[in-house]
Amino acid sequence: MNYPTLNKLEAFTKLQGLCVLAVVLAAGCDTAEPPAFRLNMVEAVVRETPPEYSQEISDVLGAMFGTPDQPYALAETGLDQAKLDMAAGPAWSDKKGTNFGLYRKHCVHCHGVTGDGRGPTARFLNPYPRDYRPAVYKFKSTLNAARPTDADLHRVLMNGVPGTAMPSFSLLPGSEVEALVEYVKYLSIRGQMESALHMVVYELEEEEVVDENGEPRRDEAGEPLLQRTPLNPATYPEQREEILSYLEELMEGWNTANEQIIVPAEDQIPGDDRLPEEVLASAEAGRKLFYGKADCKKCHGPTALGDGQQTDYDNWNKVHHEFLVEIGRKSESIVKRVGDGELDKAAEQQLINDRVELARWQGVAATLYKPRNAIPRNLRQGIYRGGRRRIDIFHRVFTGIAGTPMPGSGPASPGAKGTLTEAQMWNLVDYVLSLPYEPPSQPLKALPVNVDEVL
Amino acid sequence: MTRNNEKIRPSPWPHRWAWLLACATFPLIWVGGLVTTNDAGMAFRDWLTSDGTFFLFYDWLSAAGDKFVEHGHRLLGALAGFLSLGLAIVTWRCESRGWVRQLSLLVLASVVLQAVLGGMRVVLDERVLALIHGCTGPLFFLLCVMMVVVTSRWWKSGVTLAEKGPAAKVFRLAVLCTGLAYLQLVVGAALRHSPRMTHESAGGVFQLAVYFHLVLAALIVAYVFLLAWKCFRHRLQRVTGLALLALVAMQICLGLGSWLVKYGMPSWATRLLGERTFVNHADDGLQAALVTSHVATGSLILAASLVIALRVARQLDYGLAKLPQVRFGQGETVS
Repeated sequence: MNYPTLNKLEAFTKLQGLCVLAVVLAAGCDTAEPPAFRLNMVEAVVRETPPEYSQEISDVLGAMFGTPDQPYALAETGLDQAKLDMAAGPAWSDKKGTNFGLYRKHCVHCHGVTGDGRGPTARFLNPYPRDYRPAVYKFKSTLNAARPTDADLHRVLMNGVPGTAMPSFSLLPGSEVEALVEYVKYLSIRGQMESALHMVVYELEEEEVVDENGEPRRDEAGEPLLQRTPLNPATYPEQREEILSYLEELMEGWNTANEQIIVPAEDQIPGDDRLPEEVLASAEAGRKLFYGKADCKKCHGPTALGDGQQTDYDNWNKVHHEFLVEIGRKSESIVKRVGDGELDKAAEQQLINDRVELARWQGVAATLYKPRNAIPRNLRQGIYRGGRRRIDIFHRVFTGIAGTPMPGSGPASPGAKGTLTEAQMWNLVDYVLSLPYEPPSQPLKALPVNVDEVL
Repeated sequence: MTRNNEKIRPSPWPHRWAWLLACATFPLIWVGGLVTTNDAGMAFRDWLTSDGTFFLFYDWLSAAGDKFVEHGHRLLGALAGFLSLGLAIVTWRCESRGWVRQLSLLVLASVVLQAVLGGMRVVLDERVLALIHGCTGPLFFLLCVMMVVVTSRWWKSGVTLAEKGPAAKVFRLAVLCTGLAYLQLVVGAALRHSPRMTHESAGGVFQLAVYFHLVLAALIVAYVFLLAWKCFRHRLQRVTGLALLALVAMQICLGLGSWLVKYGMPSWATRLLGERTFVNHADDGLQAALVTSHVATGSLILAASLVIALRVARQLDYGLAKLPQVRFGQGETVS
């Protein structure tokens, strides 16, 4: 999809980059400032958080989580301060050779200082690097809506993500990988808290203006004068309580992740000692499910080459796609109203307000990358981003891939009913793992025109 | 040694010493590239000391990881410094051409400036200075190569060409290639350092650097091909011309490989060629070797272009007539 607004803004951003390079080179060291977390402006604009709250949200987050150079492990989060200190800040080594600033050294160029997946190189990567802030992770052993376990994050860091820019960090000492896992969780929790603060701001009611004696001030009609209530948990205990309750709620998701691990039933797990005929029979059953009940062909295509639907988005791109589409709508509406001719005073004021609003949206759009479609995996290449072990494929089939159009076939929550039984899911696993080894002519049999005959 | 210019035989020592310095500087550029690849620039937070010990006395062989790489860079830098000092002394003792003597002093001053830049990068923990340090390093290497060329026996033999038309074109092309190659190194340095910058516009800088790097690469390939062809056709600096062409071909492969092991396949390439089947490993030998070789080969391309430009200029007598003329031995004129 083409986004004219985005293209124009992109060109401006390039010019801006050149200017900044020139200024930085000319001014040298004087321009160096400690890095700062940036706010999620898409969320701020979409949730219609008044701009004057931006700084206050930033201040509250700073008080709760510190800065990129000096992160703070709030007791309620259960994060390990020593690990955060090891992962945060600029890269350096102490006299014993212990490395610090690991996130800045290994991750920041893609995932960005804030963990928003918008590091300097992100625009060129395929797929875009993960935005940690919504705390949604694709490759994990837990239920779709659950947070990942530390072991899940650790596994992704150790194995990397094949077919993408995400490398394996298996050459790093274990302590460094653990520190990075902790810091990734820290950025996610901070991102979730930022969303929660928008909710807190949304729920704030205006307060009365009082004079020096504490008496409410009134307007000419005798009504009390009202003003916005600042976001300041230090002076408003009820805000503090609300923020802490949000924090408690989001931490529950992290603390209960280990209870939401998908554990396949022992008696359903196919053994390693199966005969080739048994594996083939299982794969054949999986093939029927692929084209039938599980309806995998809808996205992965009738040939399993990933040539099914091509127009859907994952959550991260969908947010930006919808944001840009909304800008188009707002812009069209303004153009239409201007074209319609004379406006009364109220309509004119509304038009001015809408223009200001549009300018704010466009300012945020300038920082976005062009949304990309979620292209389904070509299953005949044998590249499995979430891991190639049978249990990894089973988890993908069971729970789907969180944040993407890939649905799960297992129960969405404990006690619920899934589309497929565990035995059927293991059949699908066998079929998926057999696909790269099918004869080249095999996919041709299952074209849309003859798919019914094949089955 | 006699100072009588009419009877003096050219000393081979400045040339030998210049070779020694150039050969020591090339690994220095390699290891400097490795420091950036590993982001080891701040392995020590102090300079001229390393973890509080004067750097020449630091126990390098007991260091590991980033400290080993960074301190190796410091030691190689010191070696280049001492060799530059030696070159200046030898040149002033054995070389009678004033401008060559001054050039040796420039080499010495450059190595000191380069060391101070590197030191300030550490003391101020400033990545922009690291970028500048990375851009000035190849300039120092160019000065070393220049010393090698102008102190050579070939240079002193002063063979000039009868037909100057084609050589003039080769000279202009070689100068253009040298300029483009240096510009490419500067853009490459921005491309390498901007990803680790935390400034809000680092992404814009990186994006611009990528586009410029690609455009410059295309220009360099075209002009180097033209230069090599003209060198071959007009029998001018054929060996260096072909070597330059080979270096550029190797550089393209190294550049593609560097991107692949660092950032994976871009989406357009994935659509054409399919996904890669392997996983990159952070800090592994392949990544370090490819990326650092790409940096070092860039300096070699720069040096080879300069060698062609200088040698053809010598054959054309460009600008050299104005320099002090010194007579050696039996009527041999050296400029």
